[in-house]
Amino acid sequence: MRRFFISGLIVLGLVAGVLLSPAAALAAFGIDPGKVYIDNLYPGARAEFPITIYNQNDYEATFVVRAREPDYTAEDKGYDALPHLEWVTATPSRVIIGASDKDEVLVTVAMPEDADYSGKKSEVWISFMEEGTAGMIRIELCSRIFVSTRVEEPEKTETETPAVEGGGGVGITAEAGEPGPVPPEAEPGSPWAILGPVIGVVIVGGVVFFLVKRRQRA
Amino acid sequence: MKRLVISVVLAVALVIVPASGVLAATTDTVTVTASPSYVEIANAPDTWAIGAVTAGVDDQTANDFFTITNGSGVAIDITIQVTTDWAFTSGSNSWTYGAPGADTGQLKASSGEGNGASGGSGLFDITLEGQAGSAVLLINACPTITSPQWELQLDAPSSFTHGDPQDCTVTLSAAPD
Repeated sequence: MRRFFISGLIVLGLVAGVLLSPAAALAAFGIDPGKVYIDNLYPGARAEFPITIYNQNDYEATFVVRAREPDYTAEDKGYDALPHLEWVTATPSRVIIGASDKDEVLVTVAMPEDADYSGKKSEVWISFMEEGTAGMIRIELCSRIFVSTRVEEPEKTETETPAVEGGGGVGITAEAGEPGPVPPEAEPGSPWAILGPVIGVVIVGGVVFFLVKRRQRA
Repeated sequence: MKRLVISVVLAVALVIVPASGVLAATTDTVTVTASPSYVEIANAPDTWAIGAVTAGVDDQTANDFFTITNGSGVAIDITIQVTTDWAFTSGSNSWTYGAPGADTGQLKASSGEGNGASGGSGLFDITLEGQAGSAVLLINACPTITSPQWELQLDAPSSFTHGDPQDCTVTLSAAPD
């Protein structure tokens, strides 16, 4: 009788285990935002923003985060796949989130100083997958990141002034809402760039001419 | 002499001031704009147990076998790909993923007619690429809070050299449209 009772408990436990197994439940999670626009990125600059993962499961789950090539791009808006996945990182790349809880990962897009990628529009995806799920069908959620790089002027050779380091002083505006207009750039094509040196040369020339004339008179 | 010094200072100032204006472009404002767009899907059932396979005979799920629950706040696209090719679950021999051949088989999928990527339920007109390939569109512009359905077909190997059971992994990827 005792053996029958124990066997009954084992069978009951197995049935309960199958019924309550997380793999048997409808695994679900969410991410936000699904679209992020980075405008005016330039060599040496970086953009950072958070993406929130919502664990809708009734169990603690681990999520794996990585940058990857897009399955498709907004070609109709001029975006191609970003050919530099190494510019994009997500920290941390593994996130453990409690049942019905949420957490953030920080995504960084850093354009190297020597990058030759002026005036381009490209797209990269941030992938989120739950780790350790059983079953044949897996779910991946992706945030689409749209990157526009600044149009760089060709290097000017008129002035011999030594170059100043960029120093990474970048203003980043994170705002919720539809993509807004890109703020105006900092006058790279100022007329003073040409006019100033010309006036300076004229003045120096005038001074030298004046001195030579005075010396000749003396 | 005083006039000379003033002239030189002015000339130098005129050269430096505009140059610093040019150099100001080395730093700039990068804008990051997040478009509120919550993305969430779930799929059930999470497995198709194909069972015993006969050489050259394709196996299919019932139509609308799988249901995707789209809880997203925006329209999404769902792509599909085999992300882990055939691998033995016991024994020592794996199939090759690809168009049917000896120990070689592939999966096809279809979804409802209104989903934009497939011609309709039961057509199995979307061929899934293997893990070395690319994802293909399963459902286009899936509206928010909907439950589209889809199904799978196994294009079975034309012949077998072993009977080792196999499995593979299929990934559904959701991203805003």
